[in-house]
Amino acid sequence: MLKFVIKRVLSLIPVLLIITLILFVLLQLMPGDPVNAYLGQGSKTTPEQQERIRAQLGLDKSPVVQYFNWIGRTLKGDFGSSIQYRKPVKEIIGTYIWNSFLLNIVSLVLAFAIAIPVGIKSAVNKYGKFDNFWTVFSLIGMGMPSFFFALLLIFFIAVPIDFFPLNLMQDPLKAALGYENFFAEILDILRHMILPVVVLTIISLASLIRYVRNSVIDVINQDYIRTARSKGLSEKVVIYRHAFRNALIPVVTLIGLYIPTLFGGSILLETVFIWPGIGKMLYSGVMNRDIWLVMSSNTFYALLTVLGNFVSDVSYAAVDPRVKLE
Amino acid sequence: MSKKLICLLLTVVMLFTLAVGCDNKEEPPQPVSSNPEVKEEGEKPDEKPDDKYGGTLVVGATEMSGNFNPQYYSSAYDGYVVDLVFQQLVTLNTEGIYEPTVAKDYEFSEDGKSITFKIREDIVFSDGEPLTAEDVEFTFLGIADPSYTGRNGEVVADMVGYDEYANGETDVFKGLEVIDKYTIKINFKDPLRVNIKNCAVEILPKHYYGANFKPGDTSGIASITNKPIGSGPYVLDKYVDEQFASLKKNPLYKGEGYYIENIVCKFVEQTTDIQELTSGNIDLLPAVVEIKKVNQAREKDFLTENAYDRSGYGYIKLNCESGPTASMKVRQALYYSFNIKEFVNSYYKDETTGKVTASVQYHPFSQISWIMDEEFNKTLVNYDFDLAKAKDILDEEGWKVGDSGYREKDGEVLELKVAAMPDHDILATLIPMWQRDWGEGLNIKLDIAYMEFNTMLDYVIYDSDAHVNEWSLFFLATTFYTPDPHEAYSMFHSKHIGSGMDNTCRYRNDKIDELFDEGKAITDVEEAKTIYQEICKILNKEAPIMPVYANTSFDLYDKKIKNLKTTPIFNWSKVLKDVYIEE
Repeated sequence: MLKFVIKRVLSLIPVLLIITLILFVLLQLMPGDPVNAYLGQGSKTTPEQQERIRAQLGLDKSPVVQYFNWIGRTLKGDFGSSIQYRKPVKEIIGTYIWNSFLLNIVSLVLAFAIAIPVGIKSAVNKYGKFDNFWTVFSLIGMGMPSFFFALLLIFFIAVPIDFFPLNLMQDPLKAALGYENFFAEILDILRHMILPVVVLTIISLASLIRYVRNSVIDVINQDYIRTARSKGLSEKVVIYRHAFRNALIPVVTLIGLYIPTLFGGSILLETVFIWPGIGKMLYSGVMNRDIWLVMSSNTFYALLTVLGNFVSDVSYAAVDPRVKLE
Repeated sequence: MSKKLICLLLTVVMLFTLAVGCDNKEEPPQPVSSNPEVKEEGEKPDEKPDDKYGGTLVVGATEMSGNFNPQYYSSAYDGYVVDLVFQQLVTLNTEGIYEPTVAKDYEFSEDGKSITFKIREDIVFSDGEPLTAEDVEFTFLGIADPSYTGRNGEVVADMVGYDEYANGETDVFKGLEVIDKYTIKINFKDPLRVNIKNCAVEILPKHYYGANFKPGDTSGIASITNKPIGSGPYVLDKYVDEQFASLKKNPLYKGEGYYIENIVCKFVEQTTDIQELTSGNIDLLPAVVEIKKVNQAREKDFLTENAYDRSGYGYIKLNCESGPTASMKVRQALYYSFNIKEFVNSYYKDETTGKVTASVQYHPFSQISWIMDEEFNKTLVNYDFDLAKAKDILDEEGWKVGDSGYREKDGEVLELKVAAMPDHDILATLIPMWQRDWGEGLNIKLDIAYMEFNTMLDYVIYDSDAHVNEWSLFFLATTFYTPDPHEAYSMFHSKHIGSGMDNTCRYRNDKIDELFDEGKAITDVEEAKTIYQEICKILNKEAPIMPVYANTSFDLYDKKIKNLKTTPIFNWSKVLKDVYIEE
């Protein structure tokens, strides 16, 4: 087992290196001049001064040198400085990531809490009214782009109903002039979370329901369920004692796979709702040619994905004796 | 049981929603001052000496990046905060004159090369420290430093000793002389009219920004981004990344005006910003261009608008170095056969009022520039649409329709390579017009190359030396920040031809270079005017650039905001002095 883990960890290194290399090449191919984005519109600089700035940002060296410098710095734990924010990238990611996490954890818990009962019920009454309803719901949910859904909610819910804010994480007037107490601030943030959480929940709910439903249907068709039924057990006991637990195994694996996504942000959703998450940050980084910020945060995403796969591989191997290690 | 579970969950969600809802009803958003002293005043409005004071203004901002350091910020929205938190040594006023702000007055030396500033002795920074000549010196030293990487570099480039200092050859910057605690002399290399413009910088407190500063290392100054301290009318109270910035009145500010107590710059999103305004979430949405949004605002009785032509224009630049457009006659023919008025009258027509929200000009200077007047405008060549004239010019030049069906000269086809952006609304309207008038009307071969915006910038600006033979014309827009015609210097001076430089039409004319250099040295505006008018006439005739439209911008705002007199170069944060809120 240990040998397997070490082998898998070692194989991650070239994968990550290749990902960063591809990222870096793409960023180099991206048109636009970071120095110009750095100085901003209406800046007053001479061409000589601009060259000096380029040198100070380390952008005057050849791309190969820049790439290896970046690797060297990153390995030392220094992710470089953001061109746009003029702050260390580490600090920026540290601030934004928790805002994304907050949205993701709430919507993920809600999605699982709704998907599991709905999925079971759909499986039990396969092709019934209830099942058909949720099948249609899932198809719409999977098919609809999140930003479009978000805009629909804004125009049809947030605009007419004052209670729902259009965007942001806090009411700026209240936040600027001071909340009466800590509790009021929490409630204000919760109020601003509702719409983005609804969108995120529905989007992940759609596929989760299908997943749970199919997994339960698989189990129900197994021989031991037939045996349980033939023993004369009531349908409730059959479903919830025998089928449910077994059906949950793949679902639990799914939770493992979802953990890394908790830290990733949804670029479009966060932009539409002006939610200060890591997705919105990445978006403005790309728009402002903030190459070190984009490099580091994308590498971070890559690391999360690779680690997620690794964790599920290892846990599969640990749980399921049918998975051979060599 | 699953039904029960769903019910339970739904109930929890509903209770949750209700709980939050109740809380909201109990606390309608009431602007409450966070400054205890002023709070007392606010509670007894009758006792206020002037009832203009107080109130909260919420402004929509799309792109703040949270850097409020005057020497380093990059987003125009960050500039709002900089405008309000800092004071400049001298400030451009609405008459186009630089009036003393931190300075009490200033005088030029006899040779015109030096300016001596007397600094007001009563100014303190918002932390209570007095503002002295040393702070002014420190401000300029930071910009001149070899390690400086900010946006203001050019303001010190004309000062004596800049090159030696910026190269790190010496520790003494000869351009700055502190005479006493409240007097500073700034020495320039040449007596230029534009020198005073270079003194319009925001003064930083040395004790705060310069705590870790030594010549050659400005990182200490640059690192202070979202905790600015200045001597301006407001102080930054709170800034939350990607959410809002809030400012409150600086109690130590002694100047007049600035009646509003709190200002909140709230982040908005372009797809929903107008809803924020119409639903009352924000009070002011500055610089709106989309007429659709303006019309949505007009439906609401509580909103009003300021409309002004932008200081700048969208333009077509022609390649003056390579290809057929290098010939002045060809450029003129294209100008006569480009129906700009037809475009503006249809594209910028406001369907509800029937008015056209943009104007047409046949010269490259800003409409607000002081060289412009009615009389002079009449002396310029009028390029109103005249296809026959365009044909005549091309015929005269020897471009005749040949066997290929296109105009040819010496076996070469008259071909225009258009560098265009895809999915660009204006270009999508212009290109069919060109195909009609230039293509079918004049028999010119049009070759339209579509490229993404930043690729095009690389093509015509950043890497232009490599691509000079690959384009004939492109479309972009520009903005002028002062009424001084010197702003057009880098657009047409041959010194600025090359990759990354401003003279992107690669226009080369010794006479123009000479006049521009002469013009920038003349202090007297009336005298300078004749020089710039001569430049204007030449550029109008030679047509290296075809300005297409100067569109109207709208500041949309709540009627409770009074006296908001924005102009093309003075946005809301620059005219806030006289603005007040009437509830």
